[in-house]
Amino acid sequence: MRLLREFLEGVGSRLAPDEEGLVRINNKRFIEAEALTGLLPTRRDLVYAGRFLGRDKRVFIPSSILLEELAREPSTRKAHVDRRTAWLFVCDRDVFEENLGVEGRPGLGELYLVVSEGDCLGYGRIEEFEGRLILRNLFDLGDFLRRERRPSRRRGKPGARKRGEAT
Amino acid sequence: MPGKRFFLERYRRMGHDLSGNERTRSALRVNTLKTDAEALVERLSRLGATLERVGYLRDGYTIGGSGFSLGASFEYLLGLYTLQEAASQFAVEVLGPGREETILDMCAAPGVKTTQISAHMGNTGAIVAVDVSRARLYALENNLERMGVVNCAAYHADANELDYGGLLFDRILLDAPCSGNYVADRAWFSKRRPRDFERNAERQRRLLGKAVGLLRPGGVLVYTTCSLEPEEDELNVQWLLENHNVSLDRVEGPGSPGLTEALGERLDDEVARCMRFWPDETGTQGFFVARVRV
Repeated sequence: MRLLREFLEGVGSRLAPDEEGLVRINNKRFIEAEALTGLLPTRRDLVYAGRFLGRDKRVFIPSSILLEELAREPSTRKAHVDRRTAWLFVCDRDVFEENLGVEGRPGLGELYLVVSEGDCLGYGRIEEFEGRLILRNLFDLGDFLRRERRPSRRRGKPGARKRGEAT
Repeated sequence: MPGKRFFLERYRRMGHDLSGNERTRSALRVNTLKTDAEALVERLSRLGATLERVGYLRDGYTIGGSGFSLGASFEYLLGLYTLQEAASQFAVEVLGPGREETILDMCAAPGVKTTQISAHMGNTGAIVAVDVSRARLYALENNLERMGVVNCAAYHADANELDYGGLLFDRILLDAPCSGNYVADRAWFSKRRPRDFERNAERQRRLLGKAVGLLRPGGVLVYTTCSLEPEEDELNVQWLLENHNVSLDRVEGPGSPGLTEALGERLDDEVARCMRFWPDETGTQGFFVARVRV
């Protein structure tokens, strides 16, 4: 719950999920639809339950469902990128400051949703790399393809990419 | 191993002269939870894809060509569509899920049909998706997430063993594990033997019997396989008619009626209400659909 809350606050969301309304399955977090609540007597074999919010890793890995909601929220912090940068971002790359369409100068440690043509593709954190600001890719939708190809069940970030690979 | 000649002769005796080289056209399904057909077709056409609407499907298009990978585009990652063969889409069309209903998807992974059920329900009501394979359930979870499904609870369990707590369903999809068909697998002829079909049929009948007991009165069970073998298709439906108080609805669509004579057995005329997709007729993979009512 702490990682989820930190993530939501970090991107400037006003969403505040009620802890009691959250369903936890291993490291995954869900909000269960009313029609699903208590449908079957057992939760023992449950692997998915309604609105998937994301999973706790070292950072919170939001679901694409949550990202889509956050992209619609006016208060969230968004970095608009062109299609070429967007494509490289979903290929697990970081983004150099000059390719980030943000208002004002981004601050170190700030989280941004990465948006291209109105579609939210993931999010990242502003970091410094060799004297330049970059948006460190923390999650992108290309993960759908990468997780299917992974031999193990290991998912999410980080470590899949060399530091400093950016666009 | 019986081999290609054996099976082609077997199909010939069912009234179909197949070459064994039939192939299916790739197809996609528009995800109406996130977009509409007009917007998606316009967007993909702009990128160079050629799509042709499939008349008997609500949201299905065959792919003429694209010049890019439709399984790795932005639009795919955003869940605006999924790749799903036309015959496979037909199964859910026959099920006809409605808003606010309670639906069981018995052998659900990898979940492409589950997401289609959700689209028909407009993300309302409840879907219980069950599968015995944890590995395949990971793919189901990915599909549910990518396609924006929020009305599904998925269970890792044998659908025969799960405790349903007396819950009865409006509709059930039993897309049963089967021996498949040669259209999707070039090595199929060299891998299959009739005794595989009989073994599968035993398992399929256990699932069918369970499914019938989980339907509310008047509820609908759709039984599908991607097998062309009567043991897994018409003979199972015949068994169902003989052992349970059910009737068959007529399946309307592009395929042929279910066989009423198969492997030397004369079957109930009602079995003709089922539908077979012969690859040479429909340009799809082999497929079988039965719509059962309790």
